[in-house]
Amino acid sequence: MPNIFNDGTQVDQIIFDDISIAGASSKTSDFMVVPALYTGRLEVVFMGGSTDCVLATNPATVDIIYYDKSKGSAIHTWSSYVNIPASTYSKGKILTEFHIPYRKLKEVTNGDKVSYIKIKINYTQSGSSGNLNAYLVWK
Amino acid sequence: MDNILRDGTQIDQTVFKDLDLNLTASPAVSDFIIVPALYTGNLHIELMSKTQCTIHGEVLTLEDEETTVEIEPYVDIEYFDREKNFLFRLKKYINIPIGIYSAGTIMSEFSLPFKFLKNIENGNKVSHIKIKLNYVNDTSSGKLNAYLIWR
Repeated sequence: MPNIFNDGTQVDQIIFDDISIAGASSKTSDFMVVPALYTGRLEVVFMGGSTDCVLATNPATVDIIYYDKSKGSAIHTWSSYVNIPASTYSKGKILTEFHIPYRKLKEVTNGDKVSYIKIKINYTQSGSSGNLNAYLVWK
Repeated sequence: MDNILRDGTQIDQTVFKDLDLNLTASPAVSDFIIVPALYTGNLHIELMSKTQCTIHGEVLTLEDEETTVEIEPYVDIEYFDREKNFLFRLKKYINIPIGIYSAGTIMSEFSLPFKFLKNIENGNKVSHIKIKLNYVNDTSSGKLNAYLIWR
């Protein structure tokens, strides 16, 4: 199980474990527990998986969805937070990297109560294929 | 001179100062920003409304020639070496939600990505960056500030 990058970065949690992106237009992670969210040190890295990851949409996008500890309705959704250029990504090549934004949450009702997030990648089903990984890392 | 945000966050550098969204032609491009700490991963950009801001993106007409879609405003990051030679442009890295922002609210926050640079020629030589804010000035208004902060 991968828990460290070549540069020594420690993986905190695995968001997507070599998932296939074919046959769907989005993939959503499980609930990710983020006790360290408000430190601003949590980052997400998407990488190509075991087979070349082909993203046909230009751009694919990533949503971040925030939940409190009850995992009920979302407290906040940051839609299309980052873009990922359409391309073919070989194993280990970075699709995108971004920190989990948290400062905006102070302007959101119950924004100080986030315990979990979900990460969702959106793309066009037609033409997209292959596998990808995504990791939550602590910086 | 602003050098601290209300929550105590220290500002490292000012990226945009009182940028008038209506009067400034898009893209708004920052000056060169020196980023010796880029590879620590601790550099962040924060865009805040100075006055009430309305921001819009480009409106595209789809193939049926009836349906229109408004593209969210977005940010490009350009990377340069020590001599300010261009190295790489990260296009459309981050989107800014279309909408109205009251004065003093956060329009976007993001870290400066650096890990992907290992796959770019001379990606280990970045010394300066520029931030490009892409939007439509005719339908946008208000003033914003943007800061580079260390976290």
